[in-house]
Amino acid sequence: MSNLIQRAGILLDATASSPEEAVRICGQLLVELNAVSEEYAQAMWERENAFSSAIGMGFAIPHGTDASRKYVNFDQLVFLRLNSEIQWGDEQVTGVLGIASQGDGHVEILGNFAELVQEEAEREVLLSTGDTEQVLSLLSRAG
Amino acid sequence: MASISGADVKHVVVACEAGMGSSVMVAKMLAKQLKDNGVVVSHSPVNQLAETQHDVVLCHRGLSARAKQAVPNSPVIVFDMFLGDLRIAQLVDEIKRGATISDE
Repeated sequence: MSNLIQRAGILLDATASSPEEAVRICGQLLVELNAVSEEYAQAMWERENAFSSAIGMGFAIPHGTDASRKYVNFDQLVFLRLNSEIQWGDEQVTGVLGIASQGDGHVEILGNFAELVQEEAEREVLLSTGDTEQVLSLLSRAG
Repeated sequence: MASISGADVKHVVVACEAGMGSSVMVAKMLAKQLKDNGVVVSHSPVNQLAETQHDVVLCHRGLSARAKQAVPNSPVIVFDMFLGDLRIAQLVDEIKRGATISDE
């Protein structure tokens, strides 16, 4: 149901050696999708640098700051899967859900995402499948 | 230290930084778990906590000092993990059973 996430916003073979690089890729994707402007992408790293967005279970959910919401054109999520796990704050991260949001439009999907990654079978799909459609359908279902 | 009976909890506020990410996610999960108990769960930037209506404040350890400073008389429950944290599960249980919730 959700148009919060689209096929072009899912990268299943991303290469990043640090959270900074992963957050930058998320930001770039959001800019390419025209969901945000460059300022938002920069704010995503500022926010990450201040407080890790790793949530456990192998995932992080980087996003901008409250002040950078004005650089969001429309609410959108992007998903990266890293080719190899990286150290992210206190966590090991392989899956990265980048968030751009003007308000609370993404909150529902975020709550469902949290439930999804706590289910072993679904988590495995998100962390290992090469099938973009499968990821899209899982994340859309979450919405 | 502050405490309250779980039976008196009607409003839980999750403190957050930008109001977009992980704390919002926790608030959403908690709201679902406490829906049937008539408890409202919302989220607020940590520096605006004092202006919120709440019986209990929940926040990540990284924000706990600022949260406690903002609302020194409210119970501030601290968790370490956004997913699967036992303290959050315990809070849900305390509210459902009407047990004492203390931030000691």
